Amino acid sequence: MWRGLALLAACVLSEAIAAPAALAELPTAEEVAQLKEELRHMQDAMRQMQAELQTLKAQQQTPAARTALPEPVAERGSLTERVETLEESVKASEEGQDSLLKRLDEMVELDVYTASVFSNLTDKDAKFDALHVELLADAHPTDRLRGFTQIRFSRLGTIEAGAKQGDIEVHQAWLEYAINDYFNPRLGVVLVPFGKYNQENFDHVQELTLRPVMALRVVPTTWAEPGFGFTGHAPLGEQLGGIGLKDFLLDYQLFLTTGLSADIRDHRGLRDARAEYETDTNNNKATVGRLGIKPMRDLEVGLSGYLGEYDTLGHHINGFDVDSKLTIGPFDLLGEYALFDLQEGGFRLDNSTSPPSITTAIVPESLRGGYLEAHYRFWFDFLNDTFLGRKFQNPTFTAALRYDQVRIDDDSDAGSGPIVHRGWTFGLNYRPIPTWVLKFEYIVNDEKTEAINTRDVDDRDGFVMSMAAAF
Amino acid sequence: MTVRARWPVLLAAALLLVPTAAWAGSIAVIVNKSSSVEAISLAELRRIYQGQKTRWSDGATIMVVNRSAASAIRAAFYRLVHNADPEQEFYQKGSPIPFKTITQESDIATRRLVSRMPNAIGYVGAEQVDDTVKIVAIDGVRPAPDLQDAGVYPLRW
Repeated sequence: MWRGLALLAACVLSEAIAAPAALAELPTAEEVAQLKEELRHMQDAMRQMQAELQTLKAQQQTPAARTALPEPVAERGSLTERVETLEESVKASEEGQDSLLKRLDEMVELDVYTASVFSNLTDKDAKFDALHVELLADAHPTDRLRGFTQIRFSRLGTIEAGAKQGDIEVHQAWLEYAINDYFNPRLGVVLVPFGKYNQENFDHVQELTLRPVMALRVVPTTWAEPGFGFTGHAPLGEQLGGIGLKDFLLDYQLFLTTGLSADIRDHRGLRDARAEYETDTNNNKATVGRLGIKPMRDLEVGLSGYLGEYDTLGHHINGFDVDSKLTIGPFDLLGEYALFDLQEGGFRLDNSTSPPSITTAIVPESLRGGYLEAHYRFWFDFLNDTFLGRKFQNPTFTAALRYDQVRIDDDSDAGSGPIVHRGWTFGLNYRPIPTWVLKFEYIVNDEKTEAINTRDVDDRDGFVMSMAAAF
Repeated sequence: MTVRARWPVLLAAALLLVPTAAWAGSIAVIVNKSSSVEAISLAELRRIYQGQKTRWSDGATIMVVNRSAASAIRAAFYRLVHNADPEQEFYQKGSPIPFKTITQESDIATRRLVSRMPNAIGYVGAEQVDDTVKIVAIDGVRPAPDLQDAGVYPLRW
């Protein structure tokens, strides 16, 4: 009697204590219905278990059932076997993954990058230009050996003079024996290490479509030559730790290459003087190198030098280039200035004839030029739910502004003065992912004296749009 | 139902959160247990994840294990190490191909892979480290629980 009353009191107290919480979270009609459904399932399950229990009790009373293996034990055995099987599967899967990773590391990696341009410049027909597709192969047959190839299919067509105005060109094809981070010999067709732009000229990497005029005429990007040399870097900040500038890093590239030829024209600068891959028209090798200095994480300064001869009479051509890039949050500020000085007395070689012929034209005295460029990366959050932002992790807009200038002191047309070209480029691009970019830009060019007669820039203003991607 | 019915769940969650809270915000850089690497500098870690340093001191190629760009820990790691967005790509001079790493989807997957690959390096939440991998000190400091590393450990977020 007393026990019953005590139990009743406990129940009342329990409900009273729980009441505020229950009131605070009254279940909704849906939750009540769900709970009722769960209760009904539990009742069904209990009825089923009771039925099974009755059956088991009945079986226990028969002689055959007493000698048989009890069902629960058999199930436990089965479960253990399944767990062991699963563990073996996981182990085999991990071993397979490891093996695959090792094999992938040793295999050739194939990539492609592509760029197409639409331009509408003054006094010129608007046009689409299927600029190029580049195939890239990077192989690491072992830890120490590396081979890299970059082949450009320009304008997606047949070879030069074909119906599609295309050509195929090897931009890089070198082999490297990796010794350590400081010193790695490399042999083959390499990007000439003169200035930053030539090393980073790839369309999907650059924020603007058109190259600075300096990178066309003074540093003839894409500038690749056969050669042999060394690359490496030295983390001085880490080695001299404790004196500040922990991030101080030097990287270098030093090469002996075929070198520029004497096909140096007033209006095209060094563009046609890039070496051929088989012949060396002046039988003289050039020494070229770049020293990259990173005193801190977001600042890089590069110094490049070029020493060579441009003709068979030993006339010198020496070059110097300084480049820099500074990143502060969403801002980049970068620039480059290059200068080539040519010893007087040399005559231009015409590489377009076979064999190349010496002309009566005098080569320019010097070529110099540079550019300054600023980038600002931004994004508007309200675009996240639009086609521009949806499904992308970190889409970005970049506003870009460039000023560039070139001066070619040419003697061959004395009286008209040097060729001076100045240009402004205003650009905006959209990157849904870092390796895919859609660029829009407007260029304003201003030229003094002679027209720089080039295919891409000319003395024209206009709109340019392009798309580039690597995958 | 409600409070009384949920208390076991809440207790379990609390028990799980206690160690996590103690380690909250520390990213541990891990290597394989067989590795001789005990400590690296933050600058060295940056060079490894940018593809500039590709070998350990014994000449073996470093296998760089990364997290997917959508993960919060990668966002923190990239901000602290590279001062960059988690999708930032890094290029070596003269190469149009971004440096590639092995991407894993979770701390556990990262830890398991590093534990199996002798030359691997990865990063996980410090609370996820167990005895199958080795923590590497960054700038001479190892991650520590209970905010003991606050202000000195460079990978705290």
